[in-house]
Amino acid sequence: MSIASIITIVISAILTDNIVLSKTLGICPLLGTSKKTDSAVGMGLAVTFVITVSSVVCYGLFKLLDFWNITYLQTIVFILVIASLVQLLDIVLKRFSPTLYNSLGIYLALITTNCTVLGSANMVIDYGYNLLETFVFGFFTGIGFTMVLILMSGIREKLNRTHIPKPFAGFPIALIIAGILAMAFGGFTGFAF
Amino acid sequence: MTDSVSHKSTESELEARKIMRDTVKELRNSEKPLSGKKSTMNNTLKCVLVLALIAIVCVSLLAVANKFLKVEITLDKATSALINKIAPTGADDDTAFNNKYIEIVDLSKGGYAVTDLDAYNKTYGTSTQKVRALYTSKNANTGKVTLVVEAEGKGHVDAIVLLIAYDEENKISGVAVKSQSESYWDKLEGRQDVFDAFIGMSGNVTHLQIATSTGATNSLRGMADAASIANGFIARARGEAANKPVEETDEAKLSQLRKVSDANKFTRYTVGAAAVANAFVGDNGDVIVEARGDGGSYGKVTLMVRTESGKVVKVARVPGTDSFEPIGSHDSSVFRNDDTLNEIFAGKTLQELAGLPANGLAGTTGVTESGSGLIAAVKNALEYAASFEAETKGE
Amino acid sequence: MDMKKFKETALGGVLNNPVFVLVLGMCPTIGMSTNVTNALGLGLATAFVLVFSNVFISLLRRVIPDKVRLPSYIIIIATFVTLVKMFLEKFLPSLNVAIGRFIPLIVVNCIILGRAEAFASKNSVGYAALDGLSMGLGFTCSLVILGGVRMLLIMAGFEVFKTAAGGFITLGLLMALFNYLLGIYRNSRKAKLLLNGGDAL
Repeated sequence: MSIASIITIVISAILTDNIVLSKTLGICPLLGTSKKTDSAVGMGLAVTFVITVSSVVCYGLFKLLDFWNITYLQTIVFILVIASLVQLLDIVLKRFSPTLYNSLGIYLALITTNCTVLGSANMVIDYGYNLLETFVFGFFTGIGFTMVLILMSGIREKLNRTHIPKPFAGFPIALIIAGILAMAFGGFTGFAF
Repeated sequence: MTDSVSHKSTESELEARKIMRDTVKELRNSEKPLSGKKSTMNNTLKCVLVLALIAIVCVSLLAVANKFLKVEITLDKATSALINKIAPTGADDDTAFNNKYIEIVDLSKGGYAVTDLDAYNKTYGTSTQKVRALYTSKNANTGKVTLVVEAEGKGHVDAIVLLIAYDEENKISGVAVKSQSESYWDKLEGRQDVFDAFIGMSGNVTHLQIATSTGATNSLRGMADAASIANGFIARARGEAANKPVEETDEAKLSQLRKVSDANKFTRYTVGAAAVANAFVGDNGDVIVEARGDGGSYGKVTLMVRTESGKVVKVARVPGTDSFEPIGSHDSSVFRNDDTLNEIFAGKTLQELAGLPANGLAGTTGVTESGSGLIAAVKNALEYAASFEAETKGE
Repeated sequence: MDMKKFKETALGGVLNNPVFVLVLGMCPTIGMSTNVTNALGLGLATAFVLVFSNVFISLLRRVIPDKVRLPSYIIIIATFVTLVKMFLEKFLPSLNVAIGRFIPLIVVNCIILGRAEAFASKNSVGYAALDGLSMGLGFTCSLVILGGVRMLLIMAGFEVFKTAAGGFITLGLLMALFNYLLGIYRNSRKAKLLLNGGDAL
């Protein structure tokens, strides 16, 4: 693959077509785990790992489904792959790296129902990427997700110390912040090809 | 208020966590069934059985549903109106639709050399580049029938579906967009020159032949891909592939052919695949293959390759078909010189091709895409030539 | 029939509204609410999956061993999602172009697995169907309200509401409004209770 097309994927996955702010996926974890920077980092890393691995695995499986002409099983197969992967990871981490498990463990469990994972597995198929592009896309989609989570958590930690009108406290203000962030990210569209 | 909201979030979070933790625990337990008692084993067996049964029932349900709900493209009013624009029936849109001047072709009923579109796409298309349907448009005044192909290629976001009308010589006579969901489509909106550029094209098309610097290059690529597969399809469907060789009369094609062969006249065998558009035989027996190679987004190129007994004799680039744009310091325009290409490829066999460094052709570096595109094109040509020669000799 | 339970289940979609109260299923809510048609389409698709997966999970609740219940639920839900996808592709191709991308993601919509786990696996078929219908329609209504508000704002010339940013902000404002109204309602009830309590004394 040429450097140029890889760079295009990287930039669009992180900035111009950010999975949260432009494609509006992964909003539940955005609202749920962006109260503190620590948990944002933990969730982000766990998601990055799972997105990368599951995109690559789902890519391979889709080739098989396509070969057997049973692409209508895509949704079932993908979600099962993701669910098993998350649990496998959970077990492996718990056994071999308790420290990492303690920092990621709780977030891992929430990932199966995180739509960024299934979303990016589907996107890889829709976009017709090859294996390397799939890997790069998966990894940097995760990085883009992590970045937004960390940005949000920084702002929300500051907000804790300010006075917020009662009806806006909690989710509403978080959504409005996300909206403003999305507007800022909209500025990156100028870089698109 | 704050309390109630955050309380609810943690409740749903906790619930999800609990669900997942339980599952993990269960998965753990089910991992070591053999060490347990007999009842545990029975339990595990039951679990596996029930799960397998549910999976089987669900999958077969979907298989049946797929049979009945499989998308068949039918002619709707909007499509009919679009076709009426690019292949005029001489009547207004409503009349054309109601009087069936425009119809969809059921390929399985025969009449065309291609009878199964799915099989066709499996052989000649890719998962993102395929032919969707064939229509006929009959002119109410002259009785002339125009063929219209519906084909899709992948743009920046999703599939772009084009309707493409053809004249008797299998050249494009009109293009309309049936559907697209591109984010930068506004840059192409109203660009009639883009659609006019298609007129008269045949064989493989690249985005550079349509337009440059529109700001929507990926959309153009999708349209070029759709047109390429449609061009190949129309030739095959009309039965001109392989079994109906014709003399090449197109001056542009002839001038390209003369770059690699000294023959006076050429017979064209239309192949129509994405990798190989045509094969030609000169009146002196020269075999020339018009092949395309794809080296990612930046390495698409079409070459005329003259071959003899498994070896490349001469190569020429078909102008305007490459995507060798200089990107930063990576300049691949060196490949636009046919002498350079001949230095690299002349005399090479398939085995020798495999040894060529994609990133170091003609001393270039950083243009891996273009290099692998070129190598792929020559490889496609040699592979096709081998089977082509075997076929023609067998006859 | 237990009237109280019936009423509780039927009103679940309002009192436990998935979007405004439980804050579940946010992604399609924001992504697909640029206009009322898309919102209605995705809402009804979700409602369909919710009703049928609830019914089948409730029917099978004694058959499915506890250990494999989550994978089983996921398979059942994914099956209905795929059916909806096939149906849209076949009969509503133009809607499919608009919302098709979000259809497979219904599988990971927390509402569905949440209701399967919390309600359908513990209740009889009738209640499970009612719960699915109520929750599904509750979700659809929230989506349509959001879609309507955004559509009006876009028509009024605020182009930004077409984008994701507009979706976030509209939902944030609507949620604040919902909280505000809920606050007034609760306060009035509190006052009433106090008053009644006073009477009793």
